[in-house]
Amino acid sequence: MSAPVLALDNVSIRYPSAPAAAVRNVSFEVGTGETLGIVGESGSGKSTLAAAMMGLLPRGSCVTGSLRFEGRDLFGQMTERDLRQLRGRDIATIAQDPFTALNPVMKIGRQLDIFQHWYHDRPRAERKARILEMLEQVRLSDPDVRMQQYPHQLSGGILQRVSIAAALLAEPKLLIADEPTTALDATTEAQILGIMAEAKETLRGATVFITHDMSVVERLCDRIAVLYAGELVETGTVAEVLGNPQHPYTKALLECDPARIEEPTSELPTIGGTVPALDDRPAGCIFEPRCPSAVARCRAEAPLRHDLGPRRSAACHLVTP
Amino acid sequence: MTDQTAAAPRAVKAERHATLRRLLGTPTGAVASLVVAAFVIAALAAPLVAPYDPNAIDPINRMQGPSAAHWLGTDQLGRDLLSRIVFGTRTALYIALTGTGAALGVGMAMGMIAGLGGKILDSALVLLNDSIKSLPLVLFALALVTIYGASVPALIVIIAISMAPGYFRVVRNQVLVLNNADFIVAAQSMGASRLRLAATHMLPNLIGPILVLIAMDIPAVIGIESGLSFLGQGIQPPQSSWGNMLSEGYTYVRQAPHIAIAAGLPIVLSTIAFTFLGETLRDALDPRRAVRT
Amino acid sequence: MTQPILEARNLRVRYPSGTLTDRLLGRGPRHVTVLPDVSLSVEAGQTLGLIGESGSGKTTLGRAAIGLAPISGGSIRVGDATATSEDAPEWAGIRRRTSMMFQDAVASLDPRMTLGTSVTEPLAIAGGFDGNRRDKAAELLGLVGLSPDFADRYPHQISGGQARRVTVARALALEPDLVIADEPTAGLDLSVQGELLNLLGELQNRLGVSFLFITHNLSVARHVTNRIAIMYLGRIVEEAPTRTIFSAPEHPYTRALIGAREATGGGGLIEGDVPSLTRRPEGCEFRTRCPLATDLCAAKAPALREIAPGHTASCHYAGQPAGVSHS
Ligand SMILES: Nc1ncnc2c1ncn2[C@@H]1O[C@H](COP(=O)(O)OP(=O)(O)OP(=O)(O)O)[C@@H](O)[C@H]1O
Ligand SMILES: Nc1ncnc2c1ncn2[C@@H]1O[C@H](COP(=O)(O)OP(=O)(O)OP(=O)(O)O)[C@@H](O)[C@H]1O
Ligand code: SF4
Ligand code: SF4
Ligand SMILES: [Mg+2]
Ligand SMILES: [Mg+2]
Repeated sequence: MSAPVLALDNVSIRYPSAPAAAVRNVSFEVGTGETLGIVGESGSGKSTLAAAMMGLLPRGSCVTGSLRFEGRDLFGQMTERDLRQLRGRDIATIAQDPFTALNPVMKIGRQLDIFQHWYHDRPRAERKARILEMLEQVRLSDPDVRMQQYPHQLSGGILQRVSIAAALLAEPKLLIADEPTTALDATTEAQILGIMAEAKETLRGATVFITHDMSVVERLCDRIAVLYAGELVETGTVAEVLGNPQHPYTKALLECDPARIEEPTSELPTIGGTVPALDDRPAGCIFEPRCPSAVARCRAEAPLRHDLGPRRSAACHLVTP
Repeated sequence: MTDQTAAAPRAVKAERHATLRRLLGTPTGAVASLVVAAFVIAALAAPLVAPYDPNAIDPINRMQGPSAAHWLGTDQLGRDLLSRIVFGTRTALYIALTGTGAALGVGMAMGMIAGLGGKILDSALVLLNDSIKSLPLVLFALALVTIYGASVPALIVIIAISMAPGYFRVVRNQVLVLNNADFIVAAQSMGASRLRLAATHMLPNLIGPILVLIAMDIPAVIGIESGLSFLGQGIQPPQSSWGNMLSEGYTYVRQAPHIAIAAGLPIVLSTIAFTFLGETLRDALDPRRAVRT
Repeated sequence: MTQPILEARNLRVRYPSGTLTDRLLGRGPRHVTVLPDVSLSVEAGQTLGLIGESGSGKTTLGRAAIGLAPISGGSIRVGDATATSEDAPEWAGIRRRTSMMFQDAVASLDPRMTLGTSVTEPLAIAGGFDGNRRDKAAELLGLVGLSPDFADRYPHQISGGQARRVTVARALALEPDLVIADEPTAGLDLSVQGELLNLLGELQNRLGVSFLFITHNLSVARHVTNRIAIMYLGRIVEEAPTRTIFSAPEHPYTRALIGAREATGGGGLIEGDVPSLTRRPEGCEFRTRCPLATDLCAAKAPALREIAPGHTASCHYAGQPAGVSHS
């Protein structure tokens, strides 16, 4: 792999006034043209990582470790101004909550125009045509009407597609998509994923794709990182991890997927127990209280990351290379 | 690696007091709050704080430099400068508060009408406010003063007219946003009354940006008052006002430069203090404000 | 059989449209009709799934069911209260026994309110609660697997999935008869999603709560709904028991949806332009994208008709054995 676009090394993040870190010792890399899927339970720190990748954490947050974009440390060497420029030009996100990411009192068309900053010196008609084309690509009906509307006049899925269009118009080197298709129906989702796959090839950038939907990971991602309670528990290629999960959490998570259950049931499988509270983390393995395969050692000692091959690892005592 | 959390308390609790804590937690915020508090106390308790009667003329001690008896010295009529500043604070804050208060009232009313009323009304009000904003403020103020004469009410009217568009914009945008916000609809879906919607959901979300604007506007108002008074078109002597004092000090700047300096001091200090207060308040009130660590 | 708890009859919803200048100049349509004519019912103690393309009007229908959309025709009945306009006095009563989970969970929480205040707000509005609000908040949060310390947090301090769970807890605070759940599982991980759905199922068994369950997730719908209604461009195009929808879908749009779920690598796509609400196609509204469209489809709009007991569809060729349909 050539130099990674994004490289995280031992990143820990603590929010101001939070009792403990929301993300702990996470390391991974995303190369040019690669798409990394991040999955994990709700509250495991996925959006926190996404915010950190944009240099957008609340004031007073504490970040340790290094987070490099094209070799430059986002938290060490860059000024606020550099970061703002980076966010405007090289890194774009599709936020988990599209409504709060858009300006509620600005028409959609104008907001989209701001995103295509590369083209700001082109004539207005050309910029407008580009926006219209992009809105058609994300399969919005009446793109010209949509441009005149305000965010609250759009449905959840339409908003989500507007934010996808915005991110694609920005032509970023790094695209961070936080659950971009949760509000889309199956057919629209399939189409949008197709568009994103195409965009990936033309943009040559790297993509980080946060999702809960394993079928989306399968369709779009090359690699996958599984988070649990703020820790990276398993990583590898999509085929390796989904086909042959090594960490007990990954296994349990996949078993919960209703899409993998043949017969309709009223009682869906879950992972028993709850995620430990931030300030009440077990001393040993973080998954130990809920782990079906836990052994005595797990309670006493936190497992290290075991390498299982090139860029493939899992953090569990039972995993042996 | 950056770590600024050393002082951060453990639990997420007490977020209620977090605004205050965030405000006083930064050095600039704490100092600005202190200075502003000092001005307010000086204004409220002027007769108690001021060592002398601000208008007591003392022909023997004219244009004296700072001394133990007169900390900041005396002016061309022998009046104690410190006392005049203290009473000038009263004038300045009175005008600032009534002026911004009136601007807030007018701007808020227009903003509510624009936000809740129909589209035509909205467009008309936006146009009106944009036109006011584009008027050259000082010329406008001088014109009004020449027509109606210099007086405190005239000053307040000038300030209210020139500041109202700012409040109008903030309130209108906020109302437009809130009107369609999901959490407002959610409260409606639970059967919340109009009163409850306004009091528990709308107002708390409106108040933050308004407070910030007020803090930011006060120095501007003080500037207007001082400026007009300096030009002889504001507060009329002998009432103490920072602008008057500056203007008098300017006349004698060669013989007694301390008069001008003493008069300029509170203007500069209050402007800086209120501006910083506004800025820290903005950060403190919006805990979401995303800033790198 | 008892009467349905929620019944929409010939419901019509439209929003004002166009910019101010357009309207002053009389250009373009003044309204966009999102729901032209919807009839739908949710049986007491059951779950009706509402599935449809993004922008087809599902949220609008959910909102209209509690009087939060501009109703311009038809009626909504919940229990024995019937309302026919947005400002009908009946809504107060309807809202007391109905609760709504919003599609955008984060946005549906007041950013300046602690989560504890938010979850117990329905109690405060309904009045008559004299217990300890803090304890109640802790209890409600516990129901959805959140620890009591979440009560002191603000919406921006929690994750998307945690916000979703808070809104679920809020919706259950008053033990409503009917819950309108708009994408209640979006943003949840598979395990929490399972827990939440099991919780809703348990509530249904214990208290007989009925659900209008709006979702995109067919895998979820397959497990938790009794019946499914499919919406396209603001109209119900097919409705049937869940099993039937999956095993024997009749409408070509339903088939495409089911196909898209099963296809990997982009199969099951519906080709063609997404039609616009303001320029609805003549005849069958699905015809611009329907692989089976014929001249008849362009000439005449199919009616929603019963093709088997409890199974309705609006397609000229629904209910005919394969092969004979058309040539
Ligand atoms: N501003 C904040 N202050 C304190 N804690 C926070 C803040 N934002 C998030 N958290 C906490 O940090 C943890 C990680 O949150 P994050 O949003 O990264 O989760 P996530 O993996 O994106 O979850 P989801 O899938 O539900 O969106 C959660 O436990 C959350 O409650
Ligand atoms: N306030 C409004 N003003 C104008 N049009 C609106 C308004 N609210 C919704 N619409 C339009 O009504 C249509 C249906 O919206 P609705 O939110 O009901 O869709 P939905 O089926 O819930 O879609 P999704 O699955 O994307 O959430 C959309 O075209 C939307 O733009
Ligand atoms: S280390 Fe032990 S407790 Fe942790 S995941 Fe592995 S087996 Fe389970
Ligand atoms: S009526 Fe015709 S166009 Fe419409 S769904 Fe049936 S076959 Fe397709
Ligand atoms: Mg998230
Ligand atoms: Mg919707």
